[in-house]
Amino acid sequence: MKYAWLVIAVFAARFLVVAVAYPAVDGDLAWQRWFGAAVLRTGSIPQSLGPETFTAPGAPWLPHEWLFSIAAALGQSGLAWEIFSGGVALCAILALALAAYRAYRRGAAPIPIALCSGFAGIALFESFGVRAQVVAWPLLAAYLLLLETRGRVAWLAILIAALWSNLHGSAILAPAVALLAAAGAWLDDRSFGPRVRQLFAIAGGSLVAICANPFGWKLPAYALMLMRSPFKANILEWKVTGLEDLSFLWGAFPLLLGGVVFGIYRRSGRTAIRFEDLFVFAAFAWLVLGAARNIAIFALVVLPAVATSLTALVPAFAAAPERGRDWFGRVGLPVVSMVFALVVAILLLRSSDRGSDNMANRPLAALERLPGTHRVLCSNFAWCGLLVGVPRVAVFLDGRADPYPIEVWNDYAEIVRVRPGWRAQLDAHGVDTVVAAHDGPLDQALAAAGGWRVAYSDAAYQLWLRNP
Amino acid sequence: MISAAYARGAAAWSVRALLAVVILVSFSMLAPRAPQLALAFGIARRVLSQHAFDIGWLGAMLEYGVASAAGVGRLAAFGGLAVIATLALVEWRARARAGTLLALAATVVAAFAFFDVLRVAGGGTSWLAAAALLLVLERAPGRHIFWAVPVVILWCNVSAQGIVAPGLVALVALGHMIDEGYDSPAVGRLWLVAAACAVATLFTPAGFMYVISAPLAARLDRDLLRIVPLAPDVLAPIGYRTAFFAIIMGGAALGFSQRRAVDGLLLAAGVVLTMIDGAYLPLLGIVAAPILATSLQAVLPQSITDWAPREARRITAGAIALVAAFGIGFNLHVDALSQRMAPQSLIERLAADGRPHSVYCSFAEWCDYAIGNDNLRVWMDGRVERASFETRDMQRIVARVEPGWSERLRRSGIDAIVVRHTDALATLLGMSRDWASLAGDDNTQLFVRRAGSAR
Repeated sequence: MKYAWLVIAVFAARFLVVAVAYPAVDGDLAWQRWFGAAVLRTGSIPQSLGPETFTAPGAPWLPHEWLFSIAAALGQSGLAWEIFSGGVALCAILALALAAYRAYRRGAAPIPIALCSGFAGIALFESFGVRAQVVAWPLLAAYLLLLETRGRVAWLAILIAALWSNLHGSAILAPAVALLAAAGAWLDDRSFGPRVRQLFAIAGGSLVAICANPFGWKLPAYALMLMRSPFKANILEWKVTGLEDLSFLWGAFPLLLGGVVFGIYRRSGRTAIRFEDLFVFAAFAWLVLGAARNIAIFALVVLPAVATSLTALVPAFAAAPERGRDWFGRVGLPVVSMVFALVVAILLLRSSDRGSDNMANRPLAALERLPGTHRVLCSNFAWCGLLVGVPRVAVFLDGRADPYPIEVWNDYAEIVRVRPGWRAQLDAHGVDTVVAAHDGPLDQALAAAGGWRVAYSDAAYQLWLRNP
Repeated sequence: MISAAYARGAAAWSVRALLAVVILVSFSMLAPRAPQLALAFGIARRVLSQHAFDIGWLGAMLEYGVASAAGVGRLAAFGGLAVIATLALVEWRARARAGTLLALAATVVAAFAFFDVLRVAGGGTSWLAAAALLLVLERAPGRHIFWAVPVVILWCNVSAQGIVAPGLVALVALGHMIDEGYDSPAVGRLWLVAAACAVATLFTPAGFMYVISAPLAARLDRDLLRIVPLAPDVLAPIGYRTAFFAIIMGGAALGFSQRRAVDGLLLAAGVVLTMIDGAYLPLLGIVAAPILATSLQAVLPQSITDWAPREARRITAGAIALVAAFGIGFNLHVDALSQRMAPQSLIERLAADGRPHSVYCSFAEWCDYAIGNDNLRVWMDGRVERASFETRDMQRIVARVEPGWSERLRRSGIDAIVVRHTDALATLLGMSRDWASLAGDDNTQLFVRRAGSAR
């Protein structure tokens, strides 16, 4: 583990600085704060969309991130924000550390663990933010760690699953992973022994545990529905993974390639296939190739297996360093690592990106200053997350995404992609305000169409109002 | 009484024959991807009439020759024959490593990698050359390994994808060096073959320009992703979900490289190339099938690999079921695989007015239909290697209606545009006073610049 800690330290600097010093990079946080505040105020969890949207008020909603939303509401500003955002960053760091520890427990050597931790850390980059799914990462890593342990402590996995289901809908993975591990272990052992029985029991217990939330059985049902929902085609995160995704190219793909070329189980001579690992690897490989959203969890899951195989493949990795030559490992590496961490933190803090407005904050602030009521469409639906709950404003679609009916999504795609019926849909929904990327297709179409005027303009955005 | 050897032979030949028939029948039902065909015919006609040799001229001539002799409808069957021959070479390699039974099973898995082969550039003949090259590298004794050089020359003349050949040979040499050590005579010979193969890429009519242009023509530049589809789930969706996944799971389960470094390197190259451009999925099948067979042999009980009757029957039945799945899957997807939606008629209509036109197609390969029409000049067609960086840049800017697209169109003198009617470009052209919709079909629209508008 010794080198892995140093790699993790560098990533920790990056995650902490990004989380704490870049508060406005995710539109979801705005509606989550609004939602968390509503829960704290009313003492109940709303389960349908309200008048904050004009396309689907009353549509059923399962806000599976409710606990995270409450934390977001409590940690809005000042020290509370630093604690909250820092806590989310610590979740990512903890996930990476737990995955590396799993590799260590399997007997992987320090260098392969550090190497694979580096790839896994990169794989977390693009998905990282102050987001609910990041809080789920250490839960996944801890769940897998507990599945690998023997004895009573493994039962703690069920508690993890229960906690997970209150933070993020990805908790559906818990019973599925346990079931795959159980089936694999059964094939490996060729007998229905105590560990196999325990794994099956954990799978069953986890299935029950993920219903231990305010939504009960509806949470797993919702998660299953989401897997097949067509609206995902409109969300970049759900696109099929490719080498153009940098977190995949430089992070998860080397791990995938390592898994494929080296195998995922340390073998000594001719051994049988290790189904327990294979089934879990297959499931997460399927997930990562299917959607870019899964790059991070894939890396966290396969890190230990690839590090272990690499250790077996290159015996020099496992060999102890000669006495007297380990000074670099003892002194040099920690120094190099700390310097790297410091440089990463300083560069991020001084980065010009800090001042950039990638969530349309400026045009949305301009909109809030305008008199009257507004029915707003954003050419990137996530921007409209910042308008949820703003008085006198209702949105077409926002970052809550899941509860909006597919018909709304189709109409939205028609408009923002400027398809033939875009103008008719704008009229049909009575949209009177549009936030568009400057010179984007919708911006150009509005300029050419007539009947709209610019109320705010900067290099990145334009705010359009329908002429009376 | 039937002998065991006879029974084994009968079972093997049954699977082979069934696989061949299923592939031939399946491919015969396909309509080859129309723009690709137009491009090949255009290249072939340029060879015959102007003695101009574009990259991939020999493959184009082959397709043109078959189409002329047997009709365009037989071209897909020709592609099927090329796939059968390729798989035969793959099985030959696998058989020497792992015996008939596992070789056959692995070949059936590899067949799934060829599912989408007619959707993408290169067709079947390119992969026949790849399979021949790997066979020579693996099986040719002593100096006969230099037969790899003429194979590479052939591959480079057939297709731009031949540019990867020296890289593959170098990986084989490197793998052997890791496996056998620096001082093995075979390793030295392999490095010599790799160098000779690198030189062999110059032996096309394009000469040194092949080395410059082929990486682009073979779609190995990731920058192309912004103007042409390259993702495996788009170019080879069925093979990606079946063969690709089966192969990576095979690797994860069996740990391919722990047998031989050369296998691991080739497999890694196959996976990387497939992820860069889905058109290379067949190469992954060619590379991986023998490795899969070898690795399986290492973990399976001896009774199976020795064709003990009961297990052999089961595996043969499994192979037949896989072949049947291939055939059924192909039939289910035959319409999607045929892709008859490209706008040939719109370009033909434009060409028919006899006036000179400068044409822009939002999908560059649609402009392949314009090749050979003297009055049509295109901004960019499927021959991406002929387009400069600036040309590719404008192709992207206009297709995505990025800032300045209209001005770029005006400056470049484009007076006709073929675009999918659901694209933002179509809507914005429809709203523009400078452009008028001349014609359209279910998917695409042809716009022409209005007379009197500023060029």
